[in-house]
Amino acid sequence: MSGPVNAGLPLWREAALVAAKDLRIETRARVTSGQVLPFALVVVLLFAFALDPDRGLLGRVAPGLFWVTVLLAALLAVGRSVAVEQAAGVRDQALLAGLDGTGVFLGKVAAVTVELAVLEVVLGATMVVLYDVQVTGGAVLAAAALPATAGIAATGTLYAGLASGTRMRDTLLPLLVLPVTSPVLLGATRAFEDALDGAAGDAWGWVALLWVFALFAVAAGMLAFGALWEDGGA
Amino acid sequence: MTDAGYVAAAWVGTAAVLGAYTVWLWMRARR
Amino acid sequence: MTATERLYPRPLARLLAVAAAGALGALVVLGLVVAPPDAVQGDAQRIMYLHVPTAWLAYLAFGITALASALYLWPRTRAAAWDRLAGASAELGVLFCGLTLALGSLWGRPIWGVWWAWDARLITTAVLFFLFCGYLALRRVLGRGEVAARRAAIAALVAFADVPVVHFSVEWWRTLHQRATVFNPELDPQIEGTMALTLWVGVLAFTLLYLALLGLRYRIAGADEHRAAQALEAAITARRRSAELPADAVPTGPLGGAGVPAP
Repeated sequence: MSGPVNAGLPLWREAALVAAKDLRIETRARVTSGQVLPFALVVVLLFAFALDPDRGLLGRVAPGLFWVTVLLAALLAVGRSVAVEQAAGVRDQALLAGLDGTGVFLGKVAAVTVELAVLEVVLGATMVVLYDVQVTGGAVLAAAALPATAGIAATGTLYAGLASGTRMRDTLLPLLVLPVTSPVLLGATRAFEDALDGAAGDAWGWVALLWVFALFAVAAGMLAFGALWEDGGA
Repeated sequence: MTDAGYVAAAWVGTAAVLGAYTVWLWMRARR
Repeated sequence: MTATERLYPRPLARLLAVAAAGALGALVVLGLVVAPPDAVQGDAQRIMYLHVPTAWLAYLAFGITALASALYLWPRTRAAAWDRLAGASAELGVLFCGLTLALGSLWGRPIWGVWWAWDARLITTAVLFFLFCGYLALRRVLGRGEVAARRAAIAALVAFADVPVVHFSVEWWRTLHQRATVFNPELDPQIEGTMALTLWVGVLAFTLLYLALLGLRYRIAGADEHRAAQALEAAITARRRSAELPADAVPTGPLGGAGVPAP
């Protein structure tokens, strides 16, 4: 595959650079922490209004509500992540610097995963308090959350990249991403339920599914970004 | 609704949908 | 620009249309009149003569879309025709998939007593429907050109690859939690005689219909692309004229650049 004249950094180095850049932008602009996170917390409130105020019900469906909220927040986060590259001159500088699509993709996915992880911690703590959830099986919760978040980040970034530069990207992205990530929603919710029910052993099958999905999503995204990066796509 | 009603809805509905789509394509092809 | 491409030569297209109409007519007669009512399901079983073919066609259509998308992405076989075929087939796929879901509901209500059930196959089919609705929406937003076609092709392949994952994960969900499968969505494999014949006629009739409509839709896609390219050329020409440049000037700006000859 032809590319700009540059020996090229190792893939991990490129990804780390892009991730660090994105996270630095986030630290300054505070979009995820200042807008997406409050949105997620508002959704938590909304569910409490919409569902039976009887706290028992909310506690039982908390895993599902948690992951639906994370998915909705992720749509905003990946949309933002890709939009950052659309700013004037950014792409040209990246090409001149010899960054190629796969590195950019991995870096962006890593950055979004970190942002979502932070969001999940705050979200989870809020739900524990507001929905009266007893936390058990913490190891399983973390073991499931990592591949689930990575899978969502990868799929979201892939589709945001495919739709980048188009007029209706923001309204189109939910329709593209949510059906594709339904296995993640299913697996992550079941894993969380098993952990919170005290049946953490049952969850490992779901964790395996989440890892398989995450790996495929990352691979697909690397291939796509690698192929499309130079012609202004993705 | 009796079973016959569901069957009728299914067959008439399918014919209507496919027919309308075919006609629509036909008209677009003539443009 | 060449004349609008046809998917089939005209005689074949005509033959497909006639054959499809004939087979569909035969299906109506067989399905509604000749085939006996089912011993268990009664007349409601006749909906299966539509539901099974539409489900098969949805899978075939999306499979063609995926195949065409892969052929477009592979550099050695890249051709605009594949992209056009992918889009045309996907539209038909969404149509048949939607029909499958609706017909399934109409069957389920009298037989199961419910319009819907959270079973692996139903959920997978519903997700499949939305996956390709999204694909069609993406195509519309991306417009034309090689970049757009490549992006759409990737989206099609991701959607197609996700379908077994969805099915597998939902299936796994059911078996892991050992829900008793009260509903059996499988058509009884011991079907035979007139009913089997009707079913096969249905599959054949819908396949012919799909092929006929595919040719039509493909031609329309080609005509649309052709018209869009013409409109773009006309717009460029009008822009150049309105600029009213002197003969030795080189136009600059979004549409011009070095190498564009002055009028």
